[in-house]
Amino acid sequence: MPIGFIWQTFLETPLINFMILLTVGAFSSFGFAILAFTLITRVITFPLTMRTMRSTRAMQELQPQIQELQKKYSDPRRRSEETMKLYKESGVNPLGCLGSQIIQFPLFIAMYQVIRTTLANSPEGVLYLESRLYDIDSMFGARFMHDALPLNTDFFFMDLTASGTNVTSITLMLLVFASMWLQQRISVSRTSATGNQSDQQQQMSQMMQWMMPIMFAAFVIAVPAGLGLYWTATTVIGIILHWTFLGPGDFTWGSLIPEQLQSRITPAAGTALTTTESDTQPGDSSDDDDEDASTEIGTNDGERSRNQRTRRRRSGRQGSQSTRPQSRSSRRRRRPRR
Amino acid sequence: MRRSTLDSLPAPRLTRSRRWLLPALLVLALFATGCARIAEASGWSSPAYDGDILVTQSDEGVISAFQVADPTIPLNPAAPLWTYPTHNSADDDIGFDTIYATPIIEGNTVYVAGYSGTVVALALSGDTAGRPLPAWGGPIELDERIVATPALHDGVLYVATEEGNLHSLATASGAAVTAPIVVGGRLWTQPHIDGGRIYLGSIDDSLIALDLTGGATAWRRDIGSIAGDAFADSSLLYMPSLDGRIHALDLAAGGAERWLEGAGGGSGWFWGRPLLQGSVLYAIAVDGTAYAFNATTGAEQWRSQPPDGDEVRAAPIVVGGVLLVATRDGDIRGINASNGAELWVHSVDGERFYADPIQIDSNIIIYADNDGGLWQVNPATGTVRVYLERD
Repeated sequence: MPIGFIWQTFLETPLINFMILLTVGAFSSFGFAILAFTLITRVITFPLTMRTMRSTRAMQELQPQIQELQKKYSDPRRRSEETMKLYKESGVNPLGCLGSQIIQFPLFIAMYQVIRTTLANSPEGVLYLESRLYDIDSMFGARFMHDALPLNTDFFFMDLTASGTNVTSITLMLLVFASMWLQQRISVSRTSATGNQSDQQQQMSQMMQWMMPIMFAAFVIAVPAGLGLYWTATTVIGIILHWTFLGPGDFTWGSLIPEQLQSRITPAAGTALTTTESDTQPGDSSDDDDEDASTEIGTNDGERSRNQRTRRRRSGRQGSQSTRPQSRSSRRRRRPRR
Repeated sequence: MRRSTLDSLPAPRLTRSRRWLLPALLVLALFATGCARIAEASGWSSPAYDGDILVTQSDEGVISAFQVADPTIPLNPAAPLWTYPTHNSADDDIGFDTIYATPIIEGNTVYVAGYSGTVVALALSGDTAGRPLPAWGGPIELDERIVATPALHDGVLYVATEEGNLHSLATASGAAVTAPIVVGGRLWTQPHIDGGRIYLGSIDDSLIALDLTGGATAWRRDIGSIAGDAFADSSLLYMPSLDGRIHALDLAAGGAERWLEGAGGGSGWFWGRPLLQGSVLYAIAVDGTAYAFNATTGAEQWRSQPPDGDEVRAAPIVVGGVLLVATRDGDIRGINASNGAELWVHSVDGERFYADPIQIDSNIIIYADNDGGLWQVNPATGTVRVYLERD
């Protein structure tokens, strides 16, 4: 059986019909159907997402020990063996995040094709879409599927079928870029903060922070705007999941404001922050932090997150003690003072 | 062993496998962009024939005229009288993208409306050197997508666009007669003009009647989404609808339904233009089912369902008691018009038939495929042969 037939019969066509059913349920608004579709698929793939996040976090926790092994063993074979041994002892599967992403990827492609197919606005596209419908109408003696087509593709001020340089596409292009950039910024923030990356890794992280958003934003101009809405929605949900289950790392909303503007708005606060941070070296942790850390041994993830949040609130009230690793913006601020 | 908290953890490093994973995913996404099976606009313009010259879309967005000496003899091979655009330096900027609208022949002029919004009037016989001869000083750019075949009335060419506007152009000069009338919705059906009104079907709305003078809306009637052309018979308009019915509307009575709720009522759509022959109205649903209705009452006389539901957009035609149905998958079926029994099926591998057929002789039907080729069908015998091979 050809793979195209399997793909179409068991993944794409059911999803197309599901999408149209959602549109019927969403008061004939295809825009709301896209949002509902994104939410539902994110919920369904949530176990996979969680697995990826747990795997990522476990890999993060092992990094100091892996670095020690890399320093200790110069023989690549021995180093590899010891690394694998460490993974095994710690119960970490280094391919854990890879596997779940590979499983999610076909679903992502299918969703992409589904939205493109359902948003087709050429006459042939509308005919083709009809040919993909299940005969659910006959089963229920009602015409809700066929009558849903052609889909109402207006969503607030946007035309979801639009592509090219128009207000809808440009708006969604900016939204996709901003949300993806933010997602990348949050995910790489901890990586860049501790400064124990190689130059190559830093370059790679920085490149990905810009390349992914630029590429996807460019796609939005070339494809129907509905895909841009889907990408924006799925990225925003991704940010929320990351924030909830992994935390923001060293990311702060203030770090998005350019340094000069920041000091203009709150010069006093900026000075206080700089003074405090200059006393803290990257990678350092206070005694208070160590104490907190030791009491958190054996607690589960949720408790640990709650403790961290409580500690952050506490330190925020004190206005001087920051337990977070330094952000890049704060490191940059320190240089002129030297 | 001392365990660290998240905030005191060192940086997560991109492992070797993950470093390669992200670019690989991006490459795959790019690949998927190109591979997605999306039905792109390729046009389904029908040929036009004036008894001497046949005008057809010979390639995507290219129109050609052929001299027809004997309709029974295939044109293949044949040199066109002219081809437009020529893609010479003079008309290098002209592009139809593709053509859905059927060319309209009136006198020695053929009017062509392309999907890109380009409308042009050409001398049917070309110039003496075998080149196209555009009128109006060149093509008119409406900058709006055109799917609907324009309508010609009293020296005015009415062009309905996908953007929901109705343009009126003087056939003599190409100049706009009035400012475009904003109708709304995507207009994919040929406007019908009768009794001082113009009737437009919208795929996003329904049937709209406008006064020709002034463009005021006379009435709107909700009969579902309309994508295909209507068949007109005196003051009755037989309109195919995506609501799965054929509606018989009495235009003299403000569009009142002649049949209660229309005919049909299946789960599929009606897209192709129906055909009235005597007291029988023939219509083909998009799923390939052929119907015969009593034109007076709308009662179904018979239906003929193909074993595999091929997609059908082309209008039906009846010649010598045989109803012809052409499908997207390249099948042409001959059906007994009196009882719906299938007489023959001919499959043309690799071709798609979306365009409406034309009759060029008492027993010769021409179908245009979606690649610019023409096929000659003899309904009596069921023979199908190449009439004009594409380049």
